[in-house]
This record gives sequence, C-alpha cells and structure tokens, in this order.
Amino acid sequence: MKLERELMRGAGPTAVLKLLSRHEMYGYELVEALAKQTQGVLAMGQSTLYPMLYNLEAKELIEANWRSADNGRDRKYYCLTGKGKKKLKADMEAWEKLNEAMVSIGVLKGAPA
Amino acid sequence: MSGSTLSKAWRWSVVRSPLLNLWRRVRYMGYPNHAAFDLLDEAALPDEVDALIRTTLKRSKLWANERAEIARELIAHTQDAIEAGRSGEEIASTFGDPKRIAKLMRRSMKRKRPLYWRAYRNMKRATGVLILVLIVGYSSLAVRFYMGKPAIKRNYIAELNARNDGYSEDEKAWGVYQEADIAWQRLVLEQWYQYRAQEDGGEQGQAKLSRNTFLNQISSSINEYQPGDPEYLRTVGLVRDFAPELVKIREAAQRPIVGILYTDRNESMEIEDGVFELKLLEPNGDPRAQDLLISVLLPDLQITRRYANLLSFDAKLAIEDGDMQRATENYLAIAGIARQNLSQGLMISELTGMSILDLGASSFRQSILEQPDIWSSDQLVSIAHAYAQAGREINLDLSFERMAFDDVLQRLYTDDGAGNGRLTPQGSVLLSSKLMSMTIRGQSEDQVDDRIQRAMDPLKIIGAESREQQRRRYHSAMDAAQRVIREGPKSLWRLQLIESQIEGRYARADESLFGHSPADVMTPAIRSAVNRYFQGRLTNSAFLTMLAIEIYQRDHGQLPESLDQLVPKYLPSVPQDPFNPGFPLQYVVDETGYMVYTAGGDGDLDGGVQIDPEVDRRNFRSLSRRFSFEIELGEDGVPSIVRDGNGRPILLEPDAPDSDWVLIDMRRTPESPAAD
Repeated sequence: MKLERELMRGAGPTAVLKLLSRHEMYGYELVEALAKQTQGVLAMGQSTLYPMLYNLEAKELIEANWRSADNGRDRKYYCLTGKGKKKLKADMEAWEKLNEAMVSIGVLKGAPA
Repeated sequence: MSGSTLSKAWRWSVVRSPLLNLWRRVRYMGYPNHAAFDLLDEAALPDEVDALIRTTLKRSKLWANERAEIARELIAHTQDAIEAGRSGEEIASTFGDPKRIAKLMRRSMKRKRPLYWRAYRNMKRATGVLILVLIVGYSSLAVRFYMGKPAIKRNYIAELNARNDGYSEDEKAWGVYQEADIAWQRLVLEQWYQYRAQEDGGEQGQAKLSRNTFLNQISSSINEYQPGDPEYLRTVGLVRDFAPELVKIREAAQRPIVGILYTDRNESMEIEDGVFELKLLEPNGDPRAQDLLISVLLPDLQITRRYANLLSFDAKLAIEDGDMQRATENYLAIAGIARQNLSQGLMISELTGMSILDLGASSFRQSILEQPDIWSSDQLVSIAHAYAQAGREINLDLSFERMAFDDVLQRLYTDDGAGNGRLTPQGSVLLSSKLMSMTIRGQSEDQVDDRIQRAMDPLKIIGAESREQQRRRYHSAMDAAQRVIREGPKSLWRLQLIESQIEGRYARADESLFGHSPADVMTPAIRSAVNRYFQGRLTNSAFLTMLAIEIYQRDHGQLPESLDQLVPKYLPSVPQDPFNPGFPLQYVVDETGYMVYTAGGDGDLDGGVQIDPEVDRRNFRSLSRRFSFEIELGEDGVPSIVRDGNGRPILLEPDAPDSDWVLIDMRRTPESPAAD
C-alpha cells in the first residue's frame, strides 16, 4: 500500500528525519530503509526523495557531505543537524497527538485511555 | 482578471520572456555546462536510466554546478541499486516522470541557493509585480480618463445676454456707437491720406507711419496733444469733423445700457477701402459649439474709451467756442459712458468704466481750474448728478468672473450630476493651451514638456484636484474679494494672502507633472481690482465734494471754511476715506484755492503736504502701502502674514513717504492760466 501524495508530503520528511536520527545515511540506503521498515507504505522513488532531501537541507534540518564508501565509490551522506533534531522532536509530538486524536474518534485502533 | 490569466501573464513577462531567455543564454555562454553530462558519460549507466537522468537534468534548467550535483547523486543512487541487484529496467520503473522530477528538483535546489540570489530573485519578482501593477493601474486610469467627456449643459453666453433682456433697442447704445465708429474710421483715413501726401518736412524727416499705426496713435493720444503740437491742429480738425457723430454719441450715452450682443462669433467686413465693420453674429444656440464665455468679444471697451477721449477733447473746444451747453453735454456723456461700462458686471468693463469716470472728472476739474467762472450752478448740479449716478455703479460684483469660471469647469470636467467630476482629455488640452495663454500669469519657461504632461493626464484622475475642489477654491477667492469690499481696505491682506498662495502653487505647478489647476490659472488679479474699486469710489467722492464746494462758492460768493458746511444741502455727508477709517476727506483752503485730500499711505494727516506728488500718485494708483504686509511661507508651504512681537502685521514698506494723498488740487499758482 502506498500513501497518497498529500499524506506522504506530511509523513515523509518526519520519517526521513527519524531514520537519520539513528545514523547518517545515503540516498539509496534511505529508499531501502523506508521501503523495508514501513512495509512499503512510505516507499519513495528518486523523484520524491531527492527533492525532499534538498528541501530539508535548504531548511538546515539536515546536512550532507560526500565521502568515499568502503566500495571505493563516492556517496553523499546525510545527517541530522541540531535544528533537525528539534524539528523531529516537535514533529513526533505532533504525530503522537494526531495518533491519539485518530484513536479517540476510532480512525485508529489503540488502548482505551 | 482571473488568477490563471494573471499567472500566465506573469510567466510570460518574467519567466518565459523571450528577451530574458536570450539574456540567460548569453550570460551562461562559455560556462562548463557539460560537467553533469561528462559525469554521466563516465558512469556508463544502463541506457534507460541514463536517458531519464539526462532528460531530467536538461529540463531542470538549473545552474551547471547544481546539475552536476544532482547527476552525481543520481549516478551514485543508480550504482547502489545495481549493486543491490536491480536491473536497469527496475531502476527506471521507480524513477518517476522526468518532467515532474525536474520540476521538483529545480524548486528544491533553488531553495538551497545563496541568500543574495534569493534576494535578487525576490527583488526581480517584486519589480515585475510592481511594473505589472503600474501597467494595469495606468491602463485602467487611462481608459477611465479617455472615456471622460465634459458635459456642457449651461449656455452661459445666453445667460450673459439675458441681462440685456427687457431693454428695447432704443435703450441700447451699441448700434449708435458702432455706426459712429465707421464714420470715425473714414475721417481718420482721410487724415492719413493727407498726412501721407504731405512733403517730408512736416514730420521732420521721420519715416511715415503706417495706416494702422496712424489710426491707433490718433485714437489713443487725443488728450495728450497740446496746443502748438502739429498733431493738436490735426486732432481739432478731426474732432470738429466728427461733430455730427458726437451729437449722436452724446444722446446714446444717456441710454441705460451699452447693450452689446455678447458672442463668440463675428465677421469683420471691409465695407470700403480701409473701413471695417465688425458684425457680431448670434452665438450658437448649443453651448457645446460655443467658445469659452471668457472669450466673448468686447469691442465696446476700446470704442467707448476712445469716445470718452473725444468727448473730453470736444468739451475743451466747446469751452473755447463759448458753447457751455455742448461742453456740459460732453461731460454728462462721459459720465453716461462710464455708467454704462460700470453696470455691465464684467470686471474688465468696470475697470474701463472707472478709468473713463476718472478721465471725465479730471478733465472737468482742469476746466474749472483754468476758468473758474465758466460753469453755472445748474450745470455743476447736472454734472454732479451724472457722476454720482455713475459712481453708484462702482460695485465690482464679480458675477461675470464666476460665470466664466463655471463655464470653464463644464468644459474641462465630467459631471457626476452632483457638481463634481474629473478632468477630461479635451479639458486637459484646453487648460494647458488656450487657458494658459490667456492667464495673467502666462506660461513659464520651466514648464514640463507638453508631451510628458499628456502622458501624465490619466494620473490626474487621482492626483489632481476634483471639479468640486476647483469650484470651491475659485469661488472662495471671489467670496474673499467681496468680503474685503464689505470690510474695507484693512482686509486687503486676505487677498494678498490668497494671491501669494496662488503664486506659490503656480510656481510649483510649473515644474509639476500634474500641471496647473484651473482655479489658479483663472483667478484674476483680485487684490489690484479691489484696491482699484476703493480708489474709484474715493476719487468719485472727492470729485463730488469738489463740485459741492464749487456750487457752494457760487451760492455764497466764497469757499466754505470746512466740508461740514456743505452738509446737508450740497452733500448728504462728508465722504469717508476707506483707506483711513475714522478720517473723513480732508479740506484745506487758503488764498490760492483749496485742496481735498486724505491721510495718505502712512495714515496720518500732514495738512495736505505731498513729499513727492509723482510717487504718491503711483502709490495711490497701485497698491496701498498701508495694507501690504510681509508674507512668510510655513513649513507646510502655506503662506501667512508675518506679525511683530505685539501681534501686529509687519508692513511690507514701513517707511512709506510721510505725505497725504491730494485728490483735488484747486490751488492756482502764479504760473497757472487762471492767474494770468
């Protein structure tokens, strides 16, 4: 199942920030991680991922640098900035509240309060 | 205009503009734009992926370094995918639409661009929007401006002519005056032929005058010639030949009105060689086809002024002839012509009337000074009545000026039905061409180019004052003039202030893109006119006082000791001097005669002493020094009267000559003809 574009626009950046909060990652690695860890729900191709990464970079939530990998090829690694960490924290709280709200009205299943 | 249309217009004008695109191509010429494609060549990716990336990069239209950055990242991504066992087809299938990805890449990469670039882009966009707003705004104003048409509804020329309704042709003098003018032209022409036929010796070798110059000189200088001048004898001949016409003029001068047809249409016909008849044609019944009211023809002014001169000259001849009846009738006729001009209600006619009245009074006074006993009491009384009647018509009602301005407004502005409106294209042209050339202030050399003014015309809808504001401004100036007439010369400062406000606005308007406002262009020299009104009434009062003194003298065999002795039999009261409130006309008598005078420019009495009669006469004729104050401009550009520490206005010329204004001087010096 794939998310509609509007939902992806809201969820995608938070998901990417969350993945980068664990360790730095390069583009293909992010695509794979999103597809596997979300069972394809947040899977995204180059056309979605790279513009999103450039936007996050422009907002100074992530930063990137080119480095040689173990296989000898250059890769661009992305990592979270301090500003990105704060943004992720705020986004997660917002998603929590959204989740609770969705549960409260029965859109999502969850433990009763 | 819908949002999408605006968006298209914006894209065309700024983003897709052919000129801007050409500029971009020129700007990036020679830049290593192939770097991204070199990377792709080197990477040797599967063809389908390579093609998608190339298409994306081309469509992104980003800077070369940005494209290289994207190419490098997409190559790395593809190589990682191949390493993970993906085929070229699989990778291409997840790539997405190159057109869409190029758009997203371009948008996101631009967000990463440096601050100066974004500032430049925003400035460019803002400028574009501003230009667009200005173009749209100017265009809508231009449409509104060029669609405006003046609503010319009132026929002011007909309204002016209606003043003469109710008078029969026998009560109008114009027909007689015009016929006499033709006779005068014939006589002068005959004189000119004789003059031209003369040997050069007569003019002391000077070049002969042209016919028109000869005619104008004779008409304007009649009273300046003195016995002994060659021109004097010629003038005597002319005036005697003109006697039959003068009889008719004297009769016509007693009619109630001049009764000229006010019109903008005329025909000048040469009825015989060198003799012209001006035919005044009925004005067009449709005011839209008429000229401005202010352009109506007033040939009567020049003609009546000439007749006053001829009558004055003939009065002197009549006295020489011993024909006192004719002399009296001549002076009565001068007063009648003055009265007819004064009662017309046009400022220019009233000023002419005052001038004619002064001419008659001055000439008559001179006749008494030269020959004290030639006039009988009855003749003096009839003269006094005629000059008193004419003097009562000195009122400067300004009604014509108000009508003329309202007529201008209806030709310049639209009419919203409630007295307001906006300037029209025809109005703008009329204002900057015809009206400006007619104004007393004239056209300045500094004025903004006419073509620029035309281009600025649509902005006048929002930037220039409305019809109602103009109407209020003009009429409030006229109201102020009439208030000063009621209050007296002490309030002349009000008009000084208004005129300096007009002068200030006028000077600024010379350099303004909005040009001059109609009210400022059309406001006449009201301070000077109102001052002239006070002077006209004062000189008339002084002349009537002189006549009363002369009648008293004939009745009592001696001059009165004071003017109070004249009241009430010879004068209803001693006339007041409007320039010096509280001081009636002054009178001094001695063995040489008497004088009637006022406290003068300095406002105190000096027993009729004149320091410099020539200077005093000039001061009296121009503006009263006592009521001209210093004016200063405030920070807001509004002028105000400068006051001293005690709150008193500071006079413009505080050191006015310490002398009185002698209005009637009947002292006979040993040199005067009467003493011979």
